[in-house]
Amino acid sequence: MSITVQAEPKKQHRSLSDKKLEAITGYLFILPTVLGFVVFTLGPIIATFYFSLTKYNMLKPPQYIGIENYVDMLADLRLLEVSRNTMVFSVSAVSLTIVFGLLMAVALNQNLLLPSFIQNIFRSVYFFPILVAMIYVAMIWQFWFHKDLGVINYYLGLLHIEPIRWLGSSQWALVSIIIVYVWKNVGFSMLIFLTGLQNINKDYYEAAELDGAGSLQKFFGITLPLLSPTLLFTMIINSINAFQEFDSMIVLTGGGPGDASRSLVLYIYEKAFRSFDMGYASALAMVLFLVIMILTLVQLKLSQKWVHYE
Amino acid sequence: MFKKVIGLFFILALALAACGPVATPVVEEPATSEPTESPAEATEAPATELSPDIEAKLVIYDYGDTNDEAIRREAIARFNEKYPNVEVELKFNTITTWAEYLQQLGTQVAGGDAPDIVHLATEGVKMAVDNELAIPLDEYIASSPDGQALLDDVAPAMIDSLSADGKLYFLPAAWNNMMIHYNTKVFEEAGIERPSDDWTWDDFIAIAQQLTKDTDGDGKTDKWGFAMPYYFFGVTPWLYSNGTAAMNPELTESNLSDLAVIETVQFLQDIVYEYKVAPDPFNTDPNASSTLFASGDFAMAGGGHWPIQFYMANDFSDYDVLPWPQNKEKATVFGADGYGIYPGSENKELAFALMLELVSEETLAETVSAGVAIPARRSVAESPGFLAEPKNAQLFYGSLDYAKPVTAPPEYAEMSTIFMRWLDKVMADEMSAEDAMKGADEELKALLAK
Repeated sequence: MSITVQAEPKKQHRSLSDKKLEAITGYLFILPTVLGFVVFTLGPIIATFYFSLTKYNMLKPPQYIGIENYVDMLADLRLLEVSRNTMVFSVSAVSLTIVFGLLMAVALNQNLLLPSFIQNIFRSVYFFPILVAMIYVAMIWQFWFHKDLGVINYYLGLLHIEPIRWLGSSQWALVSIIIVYVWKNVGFSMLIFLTGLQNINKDYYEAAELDGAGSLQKFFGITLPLLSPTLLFTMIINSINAFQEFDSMIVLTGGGPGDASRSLVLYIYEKAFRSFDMGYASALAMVLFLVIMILTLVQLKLSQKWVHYE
Repeated sequence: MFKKVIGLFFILALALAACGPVATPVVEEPATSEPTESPAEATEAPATELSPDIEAKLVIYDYGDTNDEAIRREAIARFNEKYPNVEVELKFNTITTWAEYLQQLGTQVAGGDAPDIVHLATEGVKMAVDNELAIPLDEYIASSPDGQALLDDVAPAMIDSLSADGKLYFLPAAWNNMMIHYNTKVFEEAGIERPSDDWTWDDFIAIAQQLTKDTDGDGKTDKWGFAMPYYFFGVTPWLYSNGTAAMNPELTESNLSDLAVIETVQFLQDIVYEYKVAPDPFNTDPNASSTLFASGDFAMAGGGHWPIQFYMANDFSDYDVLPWPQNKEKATVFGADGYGIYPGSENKELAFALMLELVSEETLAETVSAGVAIPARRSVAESPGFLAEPKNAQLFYGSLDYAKPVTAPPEYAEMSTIFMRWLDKVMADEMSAEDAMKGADEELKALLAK
């Protein structure tokens, strides 16, 4: 009797310390991530918010001016144009990347058509552009897009099409940048889609074939719904990327002519580091942050309607 | 769902942090919040004599290419022969744009890591003075024979371009201007003689038209009369030679709605779309146009002394230079660079001594062989080494008789981009010169009113 009484609290004590130990270990495991987040992400975000309430040129101490920077935005006509560019660019770049990525993935997934080593070659070739830094990619495209010396206009010329001012006209500048973005990023989407496709259970297709479904029916009835989680992932990653597109614009057009191919992020960069208007740039960054967050939340919310988890 | 949202927030935050520029400003309170030493205090310093045994550390904030860096290190070595116990740290930036350079300087200063000596150019002088990045040097020069000898050897225009409110802030080291470079072989083959040094816009167009050709008969021009330099500094000589400028002489007001400015911008559009003697200037990056100039595809190009470095490296010598063509007056643009003392420096007098070495005849003679810039000292610019190439190399220093400093208000970075952004629309043939300059004028006025 006395033994059990003695044993009881001992056992309780041990299990408590176990729990604590486990908790401490857990916290220790996430500590580096949390620290990294606080130092490299949360800190800068808070600093950005603080600077957005100041007039600050990096050389003199920041001066608190309240919400003046945010008020200035309302009268900023350039902001309107660069926001419009960003929307046009993001929507077209993301949808084109996804459509082409998906088509390429589906084509490569037709095991019967091509021997596997050729498939691997195609996969590597399509994936390759993502490995090269955008700055080099853009420099090469710059030659291709050149009005008088460029390869693209040369071939268009053979088809008796007048040379297009790819980079030097407001009409085409943004289109050129979309083309480069899609070319560079389509391989990544393709790879993700390919993985998604290979995870789909073949039984579904067999069952559908027995029921006499055609290939289009199989694609829309089986492939697409089962690929929807992958689709959502690709959409979000691509949207975030596209919203931040920046280096291709600097190299290809410098944002011009005028503001024709300037994105919001490039605009923010220029305000901060060309005009040294850190306060206004920070305010713009805060707004962009909120917009991306809201858009992503909307994407996630809407996705409940069309994404099917197996 | 909640977890997902939190996760997403983290992803977004990371992503936002990844777009760097926005998130990088140093969180620390900048060191500049302490009042920097006043210029008056600094002027008392030169009275003391520097001992050769002095022990100190100097930090130079500098820019240039790899050649420049080697030249600077040699100058520092010479300084160390006189002052062996002074440790000199050279913070050298291989930068491409002023904005980038100033941004890095700003970050350093904000982080509390300020230098003793700052290397800057005309474009940044007013900005630097406004932001207390340099002190006036007049007192130091007055008490230094070497300093006076330097100023006697430098054209007054250059001293003005490194001064603000009548005080000199930077010791002139080197400078550059804009000239017309022409391919002598192409001129010869077309039977065109070198025009007079007082040639006009009309002469320029006439020659350029003669040299613009479709040699293979495919209906497309393949030899061009001119490669248009397309950046603020490169466009400015057209304004100056038409008797106008982007801003008023005091650099306080926009001058972009001036009829002469509109006329100049119209002329630039005409060069491409009316006379068709130059390709549309977008994406003709300077290196490519130097290559095409050397290969004879461009008969003329605009540039300072810097392309000569490229010509030398490629054994190209069939070129010469001409002054900028004039419409209303003979004029071109120039910008100088020099060394200034940072107000927070604890060794200002020593810093001045090192600066004198950085602009000594010996150091500048070495920059000549690098071929990039024109030495600030007349004696060096008139040396056989500098005059060796091209035939009319004397025109470079000679241009200081009529050249004007680049329009550089404290808001230089923003002002020049406003002008170029609106000029873009004209050069893309999408807007009239008048509408574009009105738009630019409004924007510049709003900026200056801030």
